[in-house]
Amino acid sequence: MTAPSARPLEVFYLLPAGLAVVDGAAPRTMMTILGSCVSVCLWDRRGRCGGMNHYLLPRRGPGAEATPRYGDVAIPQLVSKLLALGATRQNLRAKVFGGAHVLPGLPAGGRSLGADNVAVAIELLHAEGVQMISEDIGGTRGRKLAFNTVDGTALVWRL
Amino acid sequence: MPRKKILAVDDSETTLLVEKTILGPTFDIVTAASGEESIGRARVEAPDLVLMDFEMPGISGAEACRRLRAEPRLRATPIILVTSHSEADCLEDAFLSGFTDFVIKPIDGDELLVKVRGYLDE
Repeated sequence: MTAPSARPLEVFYLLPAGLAVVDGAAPRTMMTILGSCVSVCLWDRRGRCGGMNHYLLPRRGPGAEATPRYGDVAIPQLVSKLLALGATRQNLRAKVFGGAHVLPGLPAGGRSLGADNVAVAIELLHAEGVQMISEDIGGTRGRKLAFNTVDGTALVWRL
Repeated sequence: MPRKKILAVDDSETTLLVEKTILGPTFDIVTAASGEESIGRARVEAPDLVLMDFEMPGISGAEACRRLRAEPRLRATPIILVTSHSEADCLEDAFLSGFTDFVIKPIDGDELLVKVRGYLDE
């Protein structure tokens, strides 16, 4: 009998304004590049599914199309797609990344697009009943993010 | 209060027109059609923010960004990449070259305006 080989997961690049989910039959390392944008990464270890979004603006304005470029669309969509794959709100876990801003003189925690993008993630994950367990947010540099949909591990490189 | 100044750099006249249309009512816009030209324009105009294409004739947007960052007055100026290249390599290279953030073409007016206003604290 041979031990199962630990093959690296296939890498999937998530474009800005994108959203993707996978089930246990097709696990991925999801990768994206973030500036002031935010990615919410969700996974359910028991439900064997996970996904990621990459939104650019916190909320859609009046008349704007409901696409995942907006946090108030991308977060509920990500949750509902994972629930459809068998996840439960109780078992879903969230990690939040991005929201950088470089305005000189902006006080720590001050208002900025990046901060607004992060704030909508925290607010809507709470409203969705999904527990946020970690984050790497703010700062003045872009990020390269890799997220493993099997076990929820995430790697972040500051660019 | 004086209007803030944006330097828009792109070899596409259409893109420059789109950026002027979106941002012109709120900000003063000066333009350059190449990376090389952007260096001289930036020295003279001292913009509050730069919008820069990635792929242009002559030096690339990445190289132009590196040269702008070497100018003491532009070291902390927001430089936003405006590009149709949303691939990971391009965006990673952009951040490593000194870009502050990015906007993907086709330009979404709301996104561009919100980002520019955010970086200019308007």
